[in-house]
Amino acid sequence: MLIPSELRIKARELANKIPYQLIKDSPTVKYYTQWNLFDRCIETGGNTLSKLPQSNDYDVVIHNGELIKGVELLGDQVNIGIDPSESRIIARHLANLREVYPIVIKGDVEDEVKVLLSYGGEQNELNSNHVIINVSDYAVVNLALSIVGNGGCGTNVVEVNVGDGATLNLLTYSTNINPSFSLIRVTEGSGASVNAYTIVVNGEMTHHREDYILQGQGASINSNSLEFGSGNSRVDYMINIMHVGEHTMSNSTTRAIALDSATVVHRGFGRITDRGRWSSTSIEGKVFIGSSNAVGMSVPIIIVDTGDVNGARHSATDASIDEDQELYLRMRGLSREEAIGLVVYDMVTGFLDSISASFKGSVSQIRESLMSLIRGR
Amino acid sequence: MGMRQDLYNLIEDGITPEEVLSKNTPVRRSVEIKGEVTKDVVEELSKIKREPDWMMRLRLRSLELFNKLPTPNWLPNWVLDNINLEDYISYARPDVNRSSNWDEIPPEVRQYYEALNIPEIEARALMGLGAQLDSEIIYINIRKQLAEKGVVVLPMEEAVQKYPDLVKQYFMRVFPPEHKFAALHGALWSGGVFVYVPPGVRIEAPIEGFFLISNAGEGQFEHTLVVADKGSYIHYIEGCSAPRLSKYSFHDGMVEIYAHEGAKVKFTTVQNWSRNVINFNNKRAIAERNAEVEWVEASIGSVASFVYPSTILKGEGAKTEITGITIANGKGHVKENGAKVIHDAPNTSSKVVNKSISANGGTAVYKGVVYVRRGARFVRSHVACDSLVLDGDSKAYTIPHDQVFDDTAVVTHEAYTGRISEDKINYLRTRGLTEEEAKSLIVLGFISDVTEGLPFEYAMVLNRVIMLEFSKYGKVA
Repeated sequence: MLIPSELRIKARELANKIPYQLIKDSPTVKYYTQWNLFDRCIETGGNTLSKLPQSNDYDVVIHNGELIKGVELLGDQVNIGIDPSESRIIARHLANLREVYPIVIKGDVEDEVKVLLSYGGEQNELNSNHVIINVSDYAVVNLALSIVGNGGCGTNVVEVNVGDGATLNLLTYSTNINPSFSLIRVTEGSGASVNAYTIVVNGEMTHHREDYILQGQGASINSNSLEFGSGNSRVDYMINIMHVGEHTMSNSTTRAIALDSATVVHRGFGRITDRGRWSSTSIEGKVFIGSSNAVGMSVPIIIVDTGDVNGARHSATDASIDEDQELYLRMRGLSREEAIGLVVYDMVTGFLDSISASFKGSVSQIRESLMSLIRGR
Repeated sequence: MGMRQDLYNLIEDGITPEEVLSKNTPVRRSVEIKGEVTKDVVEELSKIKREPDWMMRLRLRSLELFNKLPTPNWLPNWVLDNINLEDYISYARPDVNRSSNWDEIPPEVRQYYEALNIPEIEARALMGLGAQLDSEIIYINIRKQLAEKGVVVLPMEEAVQKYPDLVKQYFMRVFPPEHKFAALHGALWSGGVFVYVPPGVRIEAPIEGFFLISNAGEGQFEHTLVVADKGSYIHYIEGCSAPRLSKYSFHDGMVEIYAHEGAKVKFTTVQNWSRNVINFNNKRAIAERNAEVEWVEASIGSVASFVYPSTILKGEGAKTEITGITIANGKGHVKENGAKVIHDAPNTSSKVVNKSISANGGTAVYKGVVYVRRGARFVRSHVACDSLVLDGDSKAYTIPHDQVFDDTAVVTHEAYTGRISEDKINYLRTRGLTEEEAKSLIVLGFISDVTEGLPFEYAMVLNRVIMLEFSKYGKVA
């Protein structure tokens, strides 16, 4: 589906006018994403020469804004749910895009539906992908989403509309090299349920944002995430959960690992709006700082706009290896580095093991990549 | 008692509590500065105070910054709309001679303080008291034994004259004019108390500064500076009040604390401005090696309040505790009561506890930052925020930022927001309490672990204020 021209014109206008991010906070707080790194990225409109990704393992492949595989899953024209006025990066994304691909997943699909968004090009070239996935009412779907950057800058937007009573198991794996912006926006109907697993790995400046809008009554989201930063990576992972429907429930747990000179940020935002009465939200984050040059940051926010709330809680920890743990492992003859390696291994495998068995195939591939990353450090 | 009896009589005469509380007893002023804040205004203020050159220059530099710095976008628009400085009286000197004897304070002024039991509390519980009316300190007194030990408690202006080198070393250096309203404070500051505690001196009972705004459309910019020398101890209490005013007043005070090696400073604020006061208070402390700074910020009154007590833990082993109690009671009320801790040295520790209550359409906000600098080894920090929302129209926001640049730090945060339990209210109502009484009891229970740490007299005052806040008087006061 081509981008409507009026939308593209508006996006082009706004791309130079509005800021990447508005900070309405005290002077102490700075940007967590280094947006200035995106300034060097130049829109290509998809006209980039780069190697096509391997598509055998996927049902849908979109590369540098073009559909390579999965035409049979394309649905009818749909409305684009994001607006260029939201931020400069979204305006730039829409201005850089030729097509948006609507995908419809109907009925129960036992196997994984695997979607790859891939981008690549020269270091300063910006490529964009956008897909809208509709999960039909009462369907049960296992969706594995991979966002893979092979060089160059990338913006990737995935809009997911989960129908009434539907269940979506969503596995997202994102790995990047140069500055990348990813937005996954999930809107849930009444009684819909989403179990999300997210793994975000490395990148010069990776801004990975997930929005869950619990629109319908009784909708729920249970999210488990793992952030991994090594080398000089900077990863800003942000999960926003908006309770709009009554009796909605959210639960978000994030584990983050910062190694070498990496900076890893976990931001969690749970909002119970005045319409989202009798809802509950819980946001939890643990950032493991595994090196003296690594940086960990946590921003767990709860906003409650009504007293008719079942409960809203958050907790966050930024820390390295526990002193007792270290002492114990040292007594067993391990150095601090080895002990940290063990903790990292345990966190990663523990997370991968917790992912639903429906994603066995994808998890096995992710495990292989993560283990080679840990071993190769 | 006289004043209270008058109030009862007025109520019996059929005048509503709102009218009673709005009753203004304007205090005569000998000097009043109003209008746009210009270089001339600042120079005039400095001349009135017969300040040395360095202070005038500091004011002018701050004014320059005030004009340059952007208007904070973290404030609600309606608050900014009501900080129209041209309409405010930026300096009001009451026509009262300063004294250290309450009998010498004119009765029409003294009655404000007597109504709040200030002289009685001073006699029973304090080692010193400075009372500010509008822009000037009108009463100041410290116990003889403290003066003998070399403790200095002076109105800020007098300290600038008498101890320029000492004041210069700290004044607006702990809290430089880094945002627009801190800069405005630097340009217009007036009043406040300077305290210096010599090495090793421990002041066992608190010293209090009490601040009163007597009239509507007024700006109050008092500056409090507490310097605790090595190994000393002081507990300073700050009380704020105002009668119900017919239009907005603006408070933009500043508190700077410097705790030298091994010193301990406890700074308690019971802010009970009336509902027409917009309250900013710029509070920051620096703690040297093994020093301790404890802030207690009870934010009860005002229509909008933005206070973030901050501590920079500069020396190894320094500690801080920041406790906040926030009540946002009323439609449109916005109460931000946050905390900032900068861990700038190894083995420093911090604890932040924030309890907020929002009711009748009020919004309580916690905004906080814990920052651990690279190289600040083995830092420990814990932040806990609890919010109680009393009804469907009220809101509670918790916005913490933890920024950790050292791998040996352990920084933790936890927060919970929940609704008042209907079961508890029903239980108390079956015991004969009204709904308002039941709510205030539950609120008092909710914050009891915080109030228990306060001196008895202040815990009593705070409990009383909170009970009144949830009574019918709370709707207007």
